[in-house]
Amino acid sequence: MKTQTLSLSDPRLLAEFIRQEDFKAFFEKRFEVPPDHMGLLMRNGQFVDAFQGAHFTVGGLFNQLKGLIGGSSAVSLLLADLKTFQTWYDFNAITKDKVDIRGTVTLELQINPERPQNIIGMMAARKSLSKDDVSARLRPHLADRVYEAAVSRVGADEVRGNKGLQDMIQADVMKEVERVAGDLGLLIRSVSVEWAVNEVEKKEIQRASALREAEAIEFEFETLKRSMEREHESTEIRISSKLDVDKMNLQSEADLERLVLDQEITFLDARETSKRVQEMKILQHEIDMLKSERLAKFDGELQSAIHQGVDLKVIDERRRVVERGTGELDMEHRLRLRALERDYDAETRGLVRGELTQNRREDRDYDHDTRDRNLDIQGKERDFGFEGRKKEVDVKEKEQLSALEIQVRNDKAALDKLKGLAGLENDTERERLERRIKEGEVKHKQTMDTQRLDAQREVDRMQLGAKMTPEQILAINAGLSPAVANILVEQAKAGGANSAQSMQLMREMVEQANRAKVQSEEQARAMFNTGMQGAVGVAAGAGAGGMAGMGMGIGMDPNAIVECPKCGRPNAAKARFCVGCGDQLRQ
Amino acid sequence: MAGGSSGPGGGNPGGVSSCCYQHAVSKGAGFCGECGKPLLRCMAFSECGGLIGEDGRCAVCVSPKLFLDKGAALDVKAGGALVLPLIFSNASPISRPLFITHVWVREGDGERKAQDVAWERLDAGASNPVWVQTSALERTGRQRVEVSFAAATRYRWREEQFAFVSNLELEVEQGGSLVINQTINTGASSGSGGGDTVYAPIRLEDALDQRKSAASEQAAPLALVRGERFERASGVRGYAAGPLAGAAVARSARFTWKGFGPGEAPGPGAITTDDSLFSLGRAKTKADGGDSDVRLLVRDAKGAVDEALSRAISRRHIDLFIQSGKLCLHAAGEAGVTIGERRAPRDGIETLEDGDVISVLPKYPEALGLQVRMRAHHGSIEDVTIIRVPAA
Repeated sequence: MKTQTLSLSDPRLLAEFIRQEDFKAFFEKRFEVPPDHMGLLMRNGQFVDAFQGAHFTVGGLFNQLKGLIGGSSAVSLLLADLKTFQTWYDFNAITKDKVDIRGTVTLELQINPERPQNIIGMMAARKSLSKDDVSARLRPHLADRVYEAAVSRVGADEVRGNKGLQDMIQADVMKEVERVAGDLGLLIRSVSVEWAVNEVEKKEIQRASALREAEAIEFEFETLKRSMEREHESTEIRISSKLDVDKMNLQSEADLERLVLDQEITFLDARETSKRVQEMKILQHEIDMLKSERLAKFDGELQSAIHQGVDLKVIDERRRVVERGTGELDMEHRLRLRALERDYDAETRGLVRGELTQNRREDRDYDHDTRDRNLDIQGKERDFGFEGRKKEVDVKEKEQLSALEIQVRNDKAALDKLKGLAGLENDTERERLERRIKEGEVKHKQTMDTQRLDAQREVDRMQLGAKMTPEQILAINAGLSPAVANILVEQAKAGGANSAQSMQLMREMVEQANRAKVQSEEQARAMFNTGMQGAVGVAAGAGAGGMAGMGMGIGMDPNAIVECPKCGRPNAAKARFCVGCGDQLRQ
Repeated sequence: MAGGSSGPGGGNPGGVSSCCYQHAVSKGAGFCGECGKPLLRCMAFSECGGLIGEDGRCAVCVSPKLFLDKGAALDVKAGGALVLPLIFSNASPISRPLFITHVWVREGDGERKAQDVAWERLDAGASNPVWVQTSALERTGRQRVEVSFAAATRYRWREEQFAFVSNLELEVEQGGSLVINQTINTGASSGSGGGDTVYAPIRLEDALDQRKSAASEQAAPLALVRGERFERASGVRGYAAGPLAGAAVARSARFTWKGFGPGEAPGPGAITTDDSLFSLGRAKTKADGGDSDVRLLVRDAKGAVDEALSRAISRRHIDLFIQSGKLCLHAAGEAGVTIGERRAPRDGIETLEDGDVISVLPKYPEALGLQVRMRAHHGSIEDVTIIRVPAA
C-alpha cells in the first residue's frame, strides 16, 4: 500500500491545518508524519494528541479517527514543522554618540517540541502560520526594548566586532521572545546582528585611506628629498665673499645693489663651476674606465697573439727543469753554508776558551798586586787618620769645655732669676693660703654654730616634746626655734576661732616666718607688730574669702607679684598656678 | 543637666569652681591661679562672664526650663488624644536671649516628630507656651511621651546649640467610668405596697481622677536632661556625617600647632582666649604685643619671609573656634580662604573636617596652607592638630 507523506503546502509555512475532507481521501491509504514534523490531532477545536515521526496505516488512523470522523465532531490535523527556522530583518538605532546606524538581525526560532499545540495561539486565521507572521509579530516588541536600548549604550565606533554587545542583544531578545511568545510554543535559539557601515566608520575608513595616501606621498617626498640631498652633497659650492670689506666701501644704494648682484653672480658662478667640476669628474671617471677596458683588451689580444704558434708544453717543461736545477743549487749552497758555520763556531769557541783562561790568570795576578798596594795605602791612611782624629778630639774637648763654662754661667744667671720669681710667688701663695685658712675657719665656725643651734633645738624639742601643742610641733618641725614657735602659737590661738582655723593660720605663719628667716623671739614679735597685721586680718576673717581668695597671704603686699619661671608672666604672689601658662608656681 | 540647675550665683554653676570665675575676670588669663584649670570662656564672655562647664555649656547663657502648664491633663481614655500645654522659660540671670530652634515629641518607642513652633526667641526671664498634641492613644496603661528641644545661644556670628530631653508619663484608662445605677424604693417597707422609687446613679472615681484634680492646680516643672547622644545623632552638636560622624569636638580640646616658627603659635592647649577663639593673621602675636594668637607669614624655601605674599594675608585672616561640637573657621580676611575645594568668602563660616587643608591665600594655594587633624575617642575629639604647610 502506498504511503503518503504529509507535508506543508508551502516551505514558507511553519504550521498548517489539514482538513477532515483531506483525511477522508486518505482512508484507504498509508501516510506518515515525517520525523521533523509533528501532527497534532484536534477534535472540536481541542487538542487530543500529538504524533511525531508517526507512520499510520489506514486502519490505525482509521481506528483512531473512526469515532471522531463521521460523527458530529469536527476533526482536524495540524502539521507543524519542528525544524529551526531563520528570519531576518533590518532595523535602525541611534548610538550613544547620536549616530544613526543600520543593522540586520537574524533570529533562529523553533516551535517548542514540548508544547507544539500552543502555536495555535499565534495563528490569526486558524489556517496556517507562516514564518513571516512570526517575525512580524515579534518585531515591534524588539525594536525599542532591545535594539535601541542596547545600541544607545555604545558609541558608533564600538558596535563592530563587539561580542559583548551581541551577547547582550541576544540575551535581551531571548528574554523578550520568552515574554511575548514563550507560552505560544515558540523558542528562540540564537540571535545575531550584522551592522551596516555607519557614518563614523565611513569617516574612519576615509581617514585611514587619506592617511595611507599621505604616507605614500610622504614616502615619495622622502625619496625625492634624499635624492636632492645626495645631489646637494655632491655639489661643491664655494663662496668667497668679501662682504665685510665691500660693506665698508659702500657709498650708495647703487653700490649695495651692485654688491648683492655681485654676490648672486658669485654664487651662481660657484654653483656653475662646481657643476662643471662634477661633470669633469664624471668624464674623467668614464675616461679611466675606457682606458682600463682598452688596456685589458690589448693585453688579451697580445696574449692570444703570443700563444698562437708556440708550444706551451715545451716551454713549461723547460721552465720546470730550470726551477728544479735552481732548487738543487739552493739546497747545496745552504748545506755548505751550514758546514762552514759549524767550523767557524768550533774555532771561535776554542779561541774564546783560551782567551778566558789567560784573562783569569792575569786577573788573579793583578788582584794580588792591587791588594798589596791597597794594604800599604790603608796602613798609611790609618796612621794619618789617627793623628787627625787626635787633633779633632782635642778640638772637641776644648769646645765642650767652653760650652760647659757658658752653660754654667747661663744656669747661674737663670737660677738667680728663678730665685727672684719664686720668692714673689711664694709670698702670693702664702697670702692665698692664709686667706683660705681664715675662710675655712669662719665657715667651720658657722657650721659649728649651726650644728650647735640644731643640737640645741633638737634638745629643746626633745625637752618640750612631751608638753608641746600640735601648733608648736608644727613650728619646730618647720625649723623654727621654740621661742619663735611659742610666739607664733600665741598669735595663732589669738587669731583662730577654733582649733582648725588656728592650725591653718599657724601653717601660714610658719611659712611666712621661715621665708623671713625669723630666728629669735624679738624678730618674731617685730614681725607681728609690723608686717603680720595682714595675717591677723586674715585670721579674723579666716575662710571669709575676700583677699585670701584673691591670692594674698599673710604679711604679703597685696600688690606683690612673682614672675612665672616658665613663661615670665607676672602673677599675684599668692597664686598657685601661672594664669598665663598654667604652670605650678608653688605647692 | 536638670532644667532647674543652679545658675552662676548658685555656687558652682556648670561644675566650674568659683575661683575660676574670679580669675577669668583678669584679661588675658588663660588658667585659674588657684586651681590651675584652663579658663574656657563662653563665646559671649564679655556679656555673660560665664565659663564653659564640663558639659560644654555656659550655665549663664543656657538655662532653659520647661513646665507643664496648670490644668494639663495627663490621663486620657483609650482611643483619645491628649494636648500637653508646655511652657518654655529662659532662666538666664542676665539679659541673654535663648532660641528654641526645634521641638520634637516622641510617643513610646515611636519616631520623634518635629513640632511646628511659631516663635523662636526667648528673652531672659520670659516664657512662651507650646501645645503638643499626641496621636490617638489606643493602648491602656502608662505611656511615655518624650519632649525634646534644641536651644541655641547666639553671639555675633556664632551659635551654640544644645538638646534637652524631658519625659512625661500618661495614664491611658479604659473608656468610660464605672457607673452603678442604684434603685432605692422608698416606702416599700410599709405595708401599703406603694412608695417611691428613686434611681441614684453612683459614679465610681478611681485614684487617677483624684490625682488629676490635685496635680492640675499649678504649673509643674519638668525635669530636663541633656541629650548628648541625641545631639550627635540629630546633628544638633558634633559631626553628623563623614569620617567623624557621631563625634563632637570637646570645648577643652587640646590644640597643637606644628610647623610654625618660634613664637608664631601658642603652646599646646585649649582655647583659653578672652573671645574663646584663635585668631590667625599677619599681625604679631599677643605675646609680642599684637592681636593674633597665631601669626601667619609666607616664607620662601630658605625660610625667609616673602613680604609681597605675606602682605596679601590680612592682619586678622582666620578665626578658629569650636561651635556646637564642630571645629569651625570664620574667614575674617578680605580675600577669604579655601578649604580643599570649598570656598569660604569673607565672613563665611565653614565646618572643618579631619584632613581638611585651609589655603590661606586662595590665589596662591601652595604658598601657605593649614592642615587639620583630629582624633576622636569614644565620640569625643580631644586632640586637634593644626599643621602649617609648608613648615616654617
